[in-house]
Amino acid sequence: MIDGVPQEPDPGTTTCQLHRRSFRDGDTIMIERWRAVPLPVIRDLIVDWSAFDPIVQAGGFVSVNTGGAPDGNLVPVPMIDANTAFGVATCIGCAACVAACKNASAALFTASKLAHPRRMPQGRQESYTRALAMVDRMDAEGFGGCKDTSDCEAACSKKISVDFISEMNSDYFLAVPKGA
Amino acid sequence: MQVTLRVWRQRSPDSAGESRTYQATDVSPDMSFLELLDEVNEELIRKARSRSPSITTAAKGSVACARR
Repeated sequence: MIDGVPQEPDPGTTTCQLHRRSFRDGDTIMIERWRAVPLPVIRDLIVDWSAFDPIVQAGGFVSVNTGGAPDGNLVPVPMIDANTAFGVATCIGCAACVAACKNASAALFTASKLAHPRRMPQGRQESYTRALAMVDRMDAEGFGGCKDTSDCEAACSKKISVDFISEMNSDYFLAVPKGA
Repeated sequence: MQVTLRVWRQRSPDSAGESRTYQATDVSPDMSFLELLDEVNEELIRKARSRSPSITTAAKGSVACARR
């Protein structure tokens, strides 16, 4: 947290990519750790991010048999889907979205990890089971529910849209009655 | 360039934390934020060594930055 805001002051820039010229001579810079219950402090500015791992382990994969590299044109993927999937897959799991959220929700992180396999033919079949497993795991890890304030999108260094949270909720609520 | 850093310090998960103030002087505008913290760390280590030559562990006086 820089001056109370995650990944400040340059929008779309992580703190590690930030340069000194983003501040003025004589500035006072307040540096704090991420403040969220599921990300406990280890020491000083270091927090434990391991609560993210079980969320990805719960469903952040595609169940296909691996083998030799297939022909690149064997499974056609629309360009818009490929670009969207690549864009959302840029999430680095920095937890700025969690730190920015009043409710310490990891909805944007989880939605990002759901959105890119969902757009690929290989991952689309499992999108409901994946949503159910990952959202339930997110809740079990102690992250709060989404409050729809879009603070996460504002803090995201990759500018990932909250539209993907809507997509995640849609998949989740369709998955519940199916028992996915 | 010169900046004042107010950094959160907390020895362990169970201990009470506090905000401490450090001065960073002669900072290059092209320096990254992490390099700035490295400079502050180095300065703290130099000061600690000049006070007590037996201190050799960098962590004793340093500002830990958020790296894993």
